[in-house]
Amino acid sequence: MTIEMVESPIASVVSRFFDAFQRHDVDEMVELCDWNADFNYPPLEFIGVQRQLKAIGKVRGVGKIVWSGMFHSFPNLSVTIEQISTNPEGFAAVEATLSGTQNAPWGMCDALGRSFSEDHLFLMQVGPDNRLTSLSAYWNDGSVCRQLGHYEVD
Amino acid sequence: MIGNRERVIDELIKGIESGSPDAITPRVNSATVVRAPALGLDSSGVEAVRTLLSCDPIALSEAHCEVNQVRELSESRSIVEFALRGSYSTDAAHSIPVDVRVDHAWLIKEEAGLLSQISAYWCSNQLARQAGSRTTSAVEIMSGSSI
Repeated sequence: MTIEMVESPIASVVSRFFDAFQRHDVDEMVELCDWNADFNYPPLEFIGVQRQLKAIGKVRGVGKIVWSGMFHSFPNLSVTIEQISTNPEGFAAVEATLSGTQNAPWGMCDALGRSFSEDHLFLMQVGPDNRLTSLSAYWNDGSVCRQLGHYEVD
Repeated sequence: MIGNRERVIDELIKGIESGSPDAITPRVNSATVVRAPALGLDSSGVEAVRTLLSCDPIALSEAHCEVNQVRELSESRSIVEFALRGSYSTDAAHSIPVDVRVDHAWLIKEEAGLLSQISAYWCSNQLARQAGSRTTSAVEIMSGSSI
């Protein structure tokens, strides 16, 4: 008897995305997304003197900038997938832990050489052509900042 | 006809908005796993659910959930993505209550009409920033809990 393990196309796209994430391959991460894919990281806010920048927009805009910046600031940034849940409509929820050591400034956090490890929840929508059409992530950025030695809110 | 999953989600949201964990306690038992990284909470049982729903960042005055989306997933799991609005004050500092809006995503699992898992994600800095706190540690001291 042959048992064939068939991974759903949705889970396959999600796995490929996080494989690229693990390799810090921003170009491939972007390539796995639709050209107009939405990007939403609500915890990530950059507060300036005159304006507040939120990480909400498009993958090919703010998303690419955020990912490139993260990999630059955390050269050993690593993702460990805990669980992937999907549905037939192409939606996926991914529980994962991100961890890394800071080597360059990130947001309002100066580089003190400290490490973090934080649980994340990624929400992803895969379109009919097996590319991501939206990607959101939720985590406690306050905990990340504290682990990095940054205790000011802004 | 409303299924168990929809009913449980509806009651959970009502529990958040009412600030009363009692609204949802009939749907939980000792096996209910509760995780909330922003609280450092990783426990199970009715008390864990009470801790989650009665913590300062959730039990806002005049709390209201603006549900962005509810998605059903495999194995009886669902995602509820919402913005929690309400009034928040750090009482120990005698501060004036401010209106806050914090983005949430909760992964829940329903089995036979009971909640078997709640994984609640939000960012403590988002709340602290809107509450006018200068440091995250200051907010924790004032609120008596980690947000």
